[in-house]
Amino acid sequence: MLVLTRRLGESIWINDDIRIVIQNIRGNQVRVGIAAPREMVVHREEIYQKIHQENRAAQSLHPDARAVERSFEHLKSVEIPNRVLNNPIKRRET
Amino acid sequence: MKIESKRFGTIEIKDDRVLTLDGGLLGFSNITNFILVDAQGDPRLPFKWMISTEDPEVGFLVADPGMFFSDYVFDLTPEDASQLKIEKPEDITVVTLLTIPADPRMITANLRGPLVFNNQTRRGKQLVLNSHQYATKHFIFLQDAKDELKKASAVDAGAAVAFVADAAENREVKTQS
Repeated sequence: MLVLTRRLGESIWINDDIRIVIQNIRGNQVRVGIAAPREMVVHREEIYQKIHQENRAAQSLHPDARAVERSFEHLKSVEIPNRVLNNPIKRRET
Repeated sequence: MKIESKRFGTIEIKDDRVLTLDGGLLGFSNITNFILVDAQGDPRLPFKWMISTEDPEVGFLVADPGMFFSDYVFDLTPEDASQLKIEKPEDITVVTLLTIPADPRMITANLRGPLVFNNQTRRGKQLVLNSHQYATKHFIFLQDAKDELKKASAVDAGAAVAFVADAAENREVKTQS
């Protein structure tokens, strides 16, 4: 891993289109500004980790699909809120 | 195509029914091709198995989030729309992965990482929403979760209760326009 020391207000360029700026330092918190092309995907690590963990949990807990399906017998007595399906994608105002 | 799986049995499916996930799922990046199979072979149930054609032992229970969360909304970024070649809203199918704990009444849906597919190309990807409105665990059967919460709080007022309360709360989050 490349490790660089930066002061407040200084920045780092990655290629010629990504700029990372140290905007604020307070105690053990650092505020980082990222200027990058729109198609670059930037997320806090915790969010990625959560999705990663949840995907693994979704796959791993029930090795026996038939057992899961048998448990749906219970669900048949549960009222499923069978609503009109909405397309969850919000149209962007442009 | 014929798929043999210890978990899901033998499945025969037309090759053109295969879905491709760009980049796979986080944590399963080497698996990109899936088929959707009705749970219990019953298309009226709101659940489907999303089974990998590359590794048929890997499968996820998925659902249409609109069945359980009628006010679930998120932005599709222009970048994602162009990557998936989505031109019209009708082109899209959205599913969420479900996690099944020992008690199936406590099934949770991952609304933070929905899968979006283009119906025409049958390609899709898992989004990671930036919105804090949605978490990776939302109870799909809220009343059951609340009942369970009551029982749990009688026995153990620990972290599990807080988690259930938190997720139950999330279930009722109203989206902003």
